[in-house]
Amino acid sequence: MATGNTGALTEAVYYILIALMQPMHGYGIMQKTEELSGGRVRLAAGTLYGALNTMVERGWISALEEEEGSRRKEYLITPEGREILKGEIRRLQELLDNGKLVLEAQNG
Amino acid sequence: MAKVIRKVFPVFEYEREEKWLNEMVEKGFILQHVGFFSYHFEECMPGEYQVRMQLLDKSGKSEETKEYIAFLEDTGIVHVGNMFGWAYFRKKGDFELYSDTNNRIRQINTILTSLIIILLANLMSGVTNVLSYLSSGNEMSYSIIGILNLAFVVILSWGIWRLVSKKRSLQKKDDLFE
Repeated sequence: MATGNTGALTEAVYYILIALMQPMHGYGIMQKTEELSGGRVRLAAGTLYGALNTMVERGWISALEEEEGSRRKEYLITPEGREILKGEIRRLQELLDNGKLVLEAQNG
Repeated sequence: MAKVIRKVFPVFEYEREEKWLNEMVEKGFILQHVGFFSYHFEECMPGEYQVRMQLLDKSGKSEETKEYIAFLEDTGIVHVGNMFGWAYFRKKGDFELYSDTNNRIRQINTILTSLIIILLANLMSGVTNVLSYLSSGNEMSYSIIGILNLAFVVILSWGIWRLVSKKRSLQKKDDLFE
């Protein structure tokens, strides 16, 4: 899996992956992200649209079959997307651990 | 009470145009429709809406653009209309189309590309016309057209310079934060 050296995900991509653990359309992702981050991260619709298209191209998420007569697309995370998310959580954990370790050593 | 205002903004002044549209909202007029160099407003509560503009990548009639606009409309944004490749949107309360710097830079690049093409075309036409007047003593009209071309080149260069410095300041911010 190409999760080793892909660098940091943007907050938008990270929250999109989390939100898409269950099927959701664009507006749902915006609401979920705002709710999870306590209102701190607000995805702009244009940014979200671009990110969703890129993530579909990369195979991290997939667009579900559209409902009859609806233009609204629902998206869902793919197994590859889950791997990316797990890799990112490992990376963030490392940052957290090291930061806390240094601060605790200094205070203690 | 509806209101129609005819106004022209050069393409590199899109931020001033957007600011003006939002100042109109403060005065109680919200953009309802755009036409050929004309802005049509309807009354609203002062500050009730936010207006945003975006340069479209593709033609306003393309499937990609329709899909994009439908996506935005699903989130409660209203598409007011298109004018010269720009789409105009409005929504009640505050909103942004982009929450990241990359997309803002991409938009500036799109505008820069078209401005540079227009600049080169005018530069070539200007130089050719002036030279043909000077060398062969062609009619005066050649030199007038040529000088107009070159004057346009100066205005465009100023616009390009402004966009490039705007892009630089966006890129600088990006060095420290995602």
